[in-house]
Amino acid sequence: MQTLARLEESLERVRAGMEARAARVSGRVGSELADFVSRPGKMLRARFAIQFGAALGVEPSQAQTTARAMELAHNASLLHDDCVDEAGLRRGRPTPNSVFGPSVALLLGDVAFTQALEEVLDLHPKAAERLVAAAREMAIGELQEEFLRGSLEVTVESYMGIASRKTGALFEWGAMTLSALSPLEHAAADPQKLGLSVGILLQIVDDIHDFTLKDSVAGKERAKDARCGRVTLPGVFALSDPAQRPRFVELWRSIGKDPRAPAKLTRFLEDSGAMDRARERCREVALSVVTLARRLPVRSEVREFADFVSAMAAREF
Amino acid sequence: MGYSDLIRLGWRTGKFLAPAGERLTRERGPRPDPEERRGLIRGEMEEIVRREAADALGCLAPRGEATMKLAPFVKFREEKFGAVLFETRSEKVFTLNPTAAGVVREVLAGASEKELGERLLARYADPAGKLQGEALTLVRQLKDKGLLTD
Repeated sequence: MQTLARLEESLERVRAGMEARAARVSGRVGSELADFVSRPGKMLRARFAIQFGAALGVEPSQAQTTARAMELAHNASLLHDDCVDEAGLRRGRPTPNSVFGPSVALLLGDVAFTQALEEVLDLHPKAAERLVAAAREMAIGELQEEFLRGSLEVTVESYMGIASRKTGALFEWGAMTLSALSPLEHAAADPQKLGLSVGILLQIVDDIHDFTLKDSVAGKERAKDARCGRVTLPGVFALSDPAQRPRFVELWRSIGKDPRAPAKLTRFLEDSGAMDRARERCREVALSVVTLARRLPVRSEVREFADFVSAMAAREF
Repeated sequence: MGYSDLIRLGWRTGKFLAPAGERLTRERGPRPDPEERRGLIRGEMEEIVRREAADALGCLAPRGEATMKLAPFVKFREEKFGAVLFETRSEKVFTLNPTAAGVVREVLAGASEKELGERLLARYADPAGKLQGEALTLVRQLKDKGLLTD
């Protein structure tokens, strides 16, 4: 309980720091727009940074800075993603691209990313350089996914590769930055792989939720990926099974023509076991992360971090 | 005169100026069909993501018990001819043939030295019975060069 109270306190500091960043730009762009730059969501990246940092023995203030940078860079990518997908809802509220148009949303994303960079300039000599590299990998992953729209030639391995870039790269950056800041020996925990795996885990869960969560819980439209022509992990498993492939392709192609197609596709993925295979993969990655986490040096914090990873794998929000 | 005509004229004469009285006009080539172009890039992208699939292979190793991994700053990319290992600090590139690429892929997927031979034999024909020995030699060489670590 004490650890959780400490986590909430740290998250409060991260939120306050993000609000301060918003306040700094609000004088230049107005409070309504500045709010989008640092609006918090589930703050899973911040929780990851704080708990992973604690298990590495990193100074809390440094972990909080890492957390803020991760949240701001994530916000930047969401602002841009919503333009790409022409999404109308995010975190239960209208997206800036739907309210003000894509130009404004793209510029807000640019502001958010520069805010993330500013956060880390004094954190570690390599932090900013590595954050730029992570942003490049995120953008490349998004571009790859964009150009695979409509493709049915996606394998489990290529899906995981894309997830490792578009979502994993930022977690990898966070893990490597905290690793560099840690005063304790921790090579056995392989922070790079651990961070990357947490990102992939989060992506798989998000992709399952894209089908299974109601709009009101997810805060965005249901089956958005399928509507955008993207095949995600449950679909990849259906495609890889010759017995399920024809029906999956038929349903997937009816999206956009039949308003009930997303619900039918979801039911098919559940009934065929493809969704369960994706959930199983999720559990495998989570188990792999927890195994690595047990090698982290601050034993008293490891359990909280492992619980956080398990909760992320099982989350329904 | 179109822009391409001006360039050709410039190559011949050394003067990149439109002749007096000539006006540069917009060239009217066939307009590329965006859908067709997108389809071409999609095909290329399918190939690229297959090559880059190794980025996440280590994360698929069961329970994080992989005994070997690429050294930090070493990237593995599959190519049509096999694969390359890129040491990003020294910018050295090591070319691998398809079998050597298969060895690295299995290592990244979590195979220990002990399991390596068995996994490779499940994928590749081995009429000469040398596969296992050669795979272990390659692993040793990669470790000696600092590309692979325990």
